[in-house]
Amino acid sequence: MKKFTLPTKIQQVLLGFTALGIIALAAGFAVDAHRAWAGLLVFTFFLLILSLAGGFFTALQFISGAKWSVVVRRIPETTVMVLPVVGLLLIAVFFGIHHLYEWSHLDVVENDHILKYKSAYLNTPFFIARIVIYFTLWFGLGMALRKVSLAQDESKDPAQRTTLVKLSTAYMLTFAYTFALAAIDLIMSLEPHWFTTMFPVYAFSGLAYSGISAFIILIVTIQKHGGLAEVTEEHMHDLGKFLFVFTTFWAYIAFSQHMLTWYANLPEETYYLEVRLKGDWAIFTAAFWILHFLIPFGILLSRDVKRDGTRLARVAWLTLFMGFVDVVWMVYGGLNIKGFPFGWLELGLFFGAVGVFGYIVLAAYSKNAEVPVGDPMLEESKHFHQPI
Amino acid sequence: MSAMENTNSLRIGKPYAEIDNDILKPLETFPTKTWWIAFLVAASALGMFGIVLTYSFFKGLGIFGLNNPVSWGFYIINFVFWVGIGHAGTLISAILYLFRQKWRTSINRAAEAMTIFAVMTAAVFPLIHVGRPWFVYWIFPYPNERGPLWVNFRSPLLWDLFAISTYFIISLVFWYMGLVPDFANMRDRLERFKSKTKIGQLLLDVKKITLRVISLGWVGSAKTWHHYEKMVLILSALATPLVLSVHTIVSFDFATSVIPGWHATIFPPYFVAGAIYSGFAMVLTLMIIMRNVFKMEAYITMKHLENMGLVILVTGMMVSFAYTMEFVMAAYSASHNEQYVFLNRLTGPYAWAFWVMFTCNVVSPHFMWFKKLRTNITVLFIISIVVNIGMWFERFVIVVTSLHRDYLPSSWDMYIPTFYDYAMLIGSFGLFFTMFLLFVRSFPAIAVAEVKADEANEELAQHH
Repeated sequence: MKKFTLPTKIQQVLLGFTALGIIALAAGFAVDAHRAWAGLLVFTFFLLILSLAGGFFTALQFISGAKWSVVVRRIPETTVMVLPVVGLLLIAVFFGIHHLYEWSHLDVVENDHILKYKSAYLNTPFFIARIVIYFTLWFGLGMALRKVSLAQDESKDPAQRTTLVKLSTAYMLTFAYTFALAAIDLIMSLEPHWFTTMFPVYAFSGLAYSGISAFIILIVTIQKHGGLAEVTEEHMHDLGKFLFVFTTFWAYIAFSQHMLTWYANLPEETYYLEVRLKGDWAIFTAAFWILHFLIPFGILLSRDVKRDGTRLARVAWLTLFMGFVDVVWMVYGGLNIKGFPFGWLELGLFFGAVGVFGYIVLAAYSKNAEVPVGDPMLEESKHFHQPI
Repeated sequence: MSAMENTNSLRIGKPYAEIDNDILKPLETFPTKTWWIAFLVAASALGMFGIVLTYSFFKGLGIFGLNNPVSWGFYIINFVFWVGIGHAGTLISAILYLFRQKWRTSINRAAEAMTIFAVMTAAVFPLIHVGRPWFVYWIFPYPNERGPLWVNFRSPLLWDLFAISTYFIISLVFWYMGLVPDFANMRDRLERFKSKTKIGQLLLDVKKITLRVISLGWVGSAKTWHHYEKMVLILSALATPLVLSVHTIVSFDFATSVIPGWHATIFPPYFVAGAIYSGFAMVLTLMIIMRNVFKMEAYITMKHLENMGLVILVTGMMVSFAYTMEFVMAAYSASHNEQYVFLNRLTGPYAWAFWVMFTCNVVSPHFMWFKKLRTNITVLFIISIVVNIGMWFERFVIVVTSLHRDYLPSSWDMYIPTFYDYAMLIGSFGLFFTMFLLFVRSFPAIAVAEVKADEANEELAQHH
């Protein structure tokens, strides 16, 4: 069983990034605490979607019976290890609940009949209880998937694939509903008067987009440092296609949500777009849509880019960053943040997220076999070719 | 769930000549009694469709159950229903092609035909609805002498025209291109037929010449195939976004409005999932009938049927997710109108329609979890029909329950379909099935060339 050794240089860089994130956050609290709380939520939610994307991707592979992806599967299987940190960060967010969630102020709720109505759902104890439930389910199922897959490395028992398929089905169904609710709770309720049915799907599209970007970067990084020799340009091509698909999917969902909101022009809905298209936000939003969709879409049409790990990873850095900006876009818009919505704090937090996520995933990854050696489909995956 | 893999060999294990004979048999023999009975039933329904349609032109829309709050009734429901059915064909031929799902080859031809006929059936309803169908070309934006009078580009109904006509054209091209090698095959096979009578010979000659023309001089050389494969790939890439765009735009018809129950941003993906759900259910119904009537069990195997059952399970759960989100958001919204519409769906005068929809669409696909049930033809057949009943009712629920109770209780009214509404609904099935029955008699219902190519590949793989 070949294991990956994490080079010290990479460790240092990632720890440096983490430190950068912590410094940025600390400085943020010193300068503008309101913005720093919002930044903390962005940081937490971004790490949450990255780690959940791993479970989603793993489960998808098992349910669809995909064979090409066996060699790359260990990476998404590992991201669940980031969840404990996310749990701690969520506790920190609970402390900032009054800074973030309008509905947590009882006096405001008392004078607002909509919030008063919603207080049966949007109240602090129930909010915390819900998050704890989602978190337990995500962590429990994600770890179960990981454990069975790791156990298969030793046992080489092909029958464990059946267990994994069943677990994946359970994960997928649980994930669909709990993540939808979590997106409503954590992000949509920042603007507690606002609602739209697409929102959970929008949040999911961001999850898949950022997640696949992170996996590509991790795989290419591991390869650059002598690991994962099994992953060929054929696998890169499929990962690139995944990134292309989720780039397009995000655009489809975002367009549907925003166009329908804009077209119907209902006052209870449109202010969501209005605040994001005024003042500093106009440039921010326009750049966001161009960089999040148009540019990666254009680049990813190329077959050559998708088959070349180095070039694909460059695109993935852009999309990972834009996935982070997407969270900023969702969170900051509702919180009346002063100044341009993206500055040194957010940049620092992005580096911090990369550091935390990269360090934990790579450290956990290097403890076990590089690829699922017990999977009966492994040989087939190694010899995978794009069928043309 | 691992049944989506294509490891299990799809090999047919028959000589190519026998595959030709099996698939082309219905085209080269006189129709069976079963076919004639089915055709007569379908044609009578189509006849009724024509009569009611003509009658409605003379009498006006008053013969239907439409009234003031419910100004959109069976027409739009049938339209959305049939457009939805029309999603599976191009999905199977384009998206499953890109996904390298080899099992698609036995079913893609009939599914594409179904798509084309379903879209044609759907198109009849807006055509009637424009009031004076002989002026239908007015909805195309072109410089004209009527003012000049331009169409309303801001209307999603116009986007529908663009989306559906584009989809129809590409689907038709796709279908025809797939048919070309098979036409060439039929053309070559025709050489062996001779007629004793003069008139018979003449008809045979007409058939020969027609096939010679429509097979576009296909010779089947390696070079031809190479070009052909490239073309299929490019067409698939072009058709894929179209599959999604059609029902997305159909959903805009509702979602761009401000009517509670219609204005929901989740509508586009929700409608697309629903369309694939109902489309696959209809493919399943047709394939089960076709394999039994034409004895095509060797080509449309249990594996195909099981895979379609799984697609139904997955898309059914996606649709259920969208229903849930609608209710969750309505509850969360604190908007009185929004909440009332959904409460009214559950408990109002049309609650029965909602619960029919719920049972058919949300509950019934879950039988597909069990391998025993999804490999049982009777169960699959029943589920496929139940799902389509459910999907028709879904559109009924969306259209009627959102409209019948207006903002002002004084404008409330019930929508009671008349005999003519039902006649149009049944008639639309007549139109669809007439076309489909003619298709299975005049075109190879299974893509012969593709099935043979896959067979050759499977054989090679086994010799390795």
